[in-house]
Amino acid sequence: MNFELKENAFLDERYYFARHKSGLRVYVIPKKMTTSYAILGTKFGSIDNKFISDGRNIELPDGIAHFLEHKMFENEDGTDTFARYAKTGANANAYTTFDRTCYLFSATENVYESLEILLDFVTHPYFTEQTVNKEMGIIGQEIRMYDDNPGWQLYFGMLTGLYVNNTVRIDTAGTTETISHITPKLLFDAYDAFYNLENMALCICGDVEKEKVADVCDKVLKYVRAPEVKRIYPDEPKEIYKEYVSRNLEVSMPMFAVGIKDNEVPLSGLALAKKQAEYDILLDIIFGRSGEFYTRLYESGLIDSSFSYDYECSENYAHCEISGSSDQPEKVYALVKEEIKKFKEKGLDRDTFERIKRAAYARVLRVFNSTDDISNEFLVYIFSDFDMLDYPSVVAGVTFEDASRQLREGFDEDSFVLSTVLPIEK
Amino acid sequence: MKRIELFNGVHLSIIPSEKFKTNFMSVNFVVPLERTTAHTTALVPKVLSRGSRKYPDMALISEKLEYLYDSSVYPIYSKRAESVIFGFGADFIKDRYVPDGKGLLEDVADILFDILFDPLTVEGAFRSDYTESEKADLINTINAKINNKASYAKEKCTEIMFKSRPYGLSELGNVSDVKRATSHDVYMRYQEIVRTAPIEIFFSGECDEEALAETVRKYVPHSDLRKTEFPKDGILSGTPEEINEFDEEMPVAQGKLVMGFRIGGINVNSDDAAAFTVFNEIFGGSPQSKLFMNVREAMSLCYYCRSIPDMYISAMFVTSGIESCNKQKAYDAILLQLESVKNGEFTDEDLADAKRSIRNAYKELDDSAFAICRWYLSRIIAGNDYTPYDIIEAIEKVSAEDVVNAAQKVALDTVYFINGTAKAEEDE
Repeated sequence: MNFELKENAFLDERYYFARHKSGLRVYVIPKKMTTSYAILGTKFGSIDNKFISDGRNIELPDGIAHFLEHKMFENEDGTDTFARYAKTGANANAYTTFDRTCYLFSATENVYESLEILLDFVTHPYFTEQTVNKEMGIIGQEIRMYDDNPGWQLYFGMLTGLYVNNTVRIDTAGTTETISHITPKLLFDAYDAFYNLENMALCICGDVEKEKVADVCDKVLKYVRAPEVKRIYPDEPKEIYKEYVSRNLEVSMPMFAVGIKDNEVPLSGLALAKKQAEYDILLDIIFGRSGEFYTRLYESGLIDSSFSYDYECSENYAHCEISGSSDQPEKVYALVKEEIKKFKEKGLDRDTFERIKRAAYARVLRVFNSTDDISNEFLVYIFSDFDMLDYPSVVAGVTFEDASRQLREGFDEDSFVLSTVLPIEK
Repeated sequence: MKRIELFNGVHLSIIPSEKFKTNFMSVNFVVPLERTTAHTTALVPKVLSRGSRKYPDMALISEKLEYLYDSSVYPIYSKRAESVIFGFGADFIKDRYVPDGKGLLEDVADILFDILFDPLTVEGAFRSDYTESEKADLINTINAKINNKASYAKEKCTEIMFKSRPYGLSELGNVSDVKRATSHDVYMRYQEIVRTAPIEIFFSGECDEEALAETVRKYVPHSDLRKTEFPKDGILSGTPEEINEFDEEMPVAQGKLVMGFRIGGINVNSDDAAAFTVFNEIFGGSPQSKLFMNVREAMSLCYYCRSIPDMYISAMFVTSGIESCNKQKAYDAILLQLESVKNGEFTDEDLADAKRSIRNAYKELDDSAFAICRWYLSRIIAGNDYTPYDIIEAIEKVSAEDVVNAAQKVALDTVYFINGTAKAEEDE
């Protein structure tokens, strides 16, 4: 494999990249740490439930990406993948998001042996009627756990309010009903379409040598022709679905999540990274701990220390989330709207912008404190066609005018929703 | 690690580390966990965070920290056996990553120590408005424990199992006590702690050690009243006379089962601590464990079923989320797996696998500044100076017989169960 080196002198970080002959993109990120971390991901998540693969129309039940992730751990020879990792001592796991499925391990020894297991089991699917049925109970309980998780219900309440058709409104794990339709055949359909190595990437970070990583890839990975896959996403109108979404659960006090839909999609690469940086700065200015809004609401008891905010954007969807607990969620909702309106009218303060930007810039550095964070973040950037080592310069490049423009153009007043989780009335 | 005594009861431990982008620093107080003081102790770091004389409100503190390249100063608060560890942590980027090249240590230390040792006071008390809003926030936090059913159930089990002991108390206190606390009470508690509690300061990263010690000396108040010994923690020993069982009905989808076990007094300082750690790994500590392989994989009863030991107090909890109607099935299966380890039903390979997995976990500690500082703080309180590698060495020596002997000491004490009465809600 011919690796090319990419460096960021200021960060004092570097990585080697090569495309393996199997089609897999391989990123080796050397880091003098005790723990090495490897993650193999495919750009396939819960939003990808409809596609054409080599001319064949396929529709998948909700929750199948996550179900598939569970089932990958069983092997044809009857061994369990965790049992294989037990021989190397690695700590293994996997997760599924809206747009990716990732298999990972961390290890302080036997790193290449563990890598071999990772590459091997993810490239060897094995599903039978029996193993699929066995998983229904396990995932059924995982879904039940989320049914009782108020933060999760609040978040999905917000997504169902924000989006009319976008599949991001569907729970990542599906429901007990939707997963009951999963069969080995459907799992293979999903696997064949999306687990092709051309659609995947490997990041390995730690005290590792790229040549040895290449040797493991050569040993395990084979080229398989990639089917032609066209993903079909439903058209999403600019409007929101429903402004108010509410659910009653066993909680101590009302919880709220204000969602703000951002219709400037699809974006990828530099444009996406730039927008992420701009929104992060804007939300820090408006809702951050140093701002007037947080202090005023906290001191008046309208919000508590659970208050938080985030901007989430990907190629297919983008929104802001402002959440917390409050006895008066509607009042907080009105105040959030009012605050944004106020900012839109009066504009940003230059000194505040510079200070927040300085903090945002330094925050990027913290990611490089752990091989876990580095690998996971790296993969997110790879799948959106961007290079994580370029992100600090994107943040540095955000100008006062950029942020002001984003403030003016975004946060459309018709794009707000309020999701609440309220205590059960007794 | 290097630990130096700055003065009576005040120590500074330095763990040099080049691998992080940030330096980490923490100031820790260790006080006994008591019913009469838990709530005021919990309020102290919260009220302190609201403002100091130099930085009188939280917006100003945040603003200053943002200006210092996203430095952070935050309260630390946790229960460890029958003590409370609390204080403040701080992290900030290392000098060479600061664009203008000016190091941040002095400025961040100034904020950290200022918040801790030069609080805003009015006539011998904290500001009453700050105290009142922090009381409201703490009450929300205490009440919100029910939002996370798994941790709520574990805490309820602990409360019942340790009903007459400090470990059964919440480190946050209870709502009625918090309501009654005045700004004067909280200030008195603060005064008592800063004058009498031992202080352990940690630093991980790169610094001039002499200069750091000088900086710390400048801020930390000298007190002749300061204790040099940590509060004495009790250890749970003996065998339960009967099994306490409690069921609570709740309108939730999933039942939560928590089983509290005594472990015969085995604790961080006992000779069989390593054997118990290996036992726990085999029994319920990993995806290779008996609980995972049987209760989850073979029986499909749950998504999670694991054992969580607390070797400071000497106890173990098994927790699982199940269909409420499967309570007895899960209960029996968990005890059956425990019996199988007691009977030595595991192979040499299982033993070797468990040791490898533990070794990996201990070695990983070194890659988190917070985790490794917490490790050494816990050792210091326990009165030993084991490194993670010392523990690994002890683990390697554990035999199958040692594991069986440790397992034999495990006895069920208390069972707490949330009986879910809600039907699962389907998405719209």
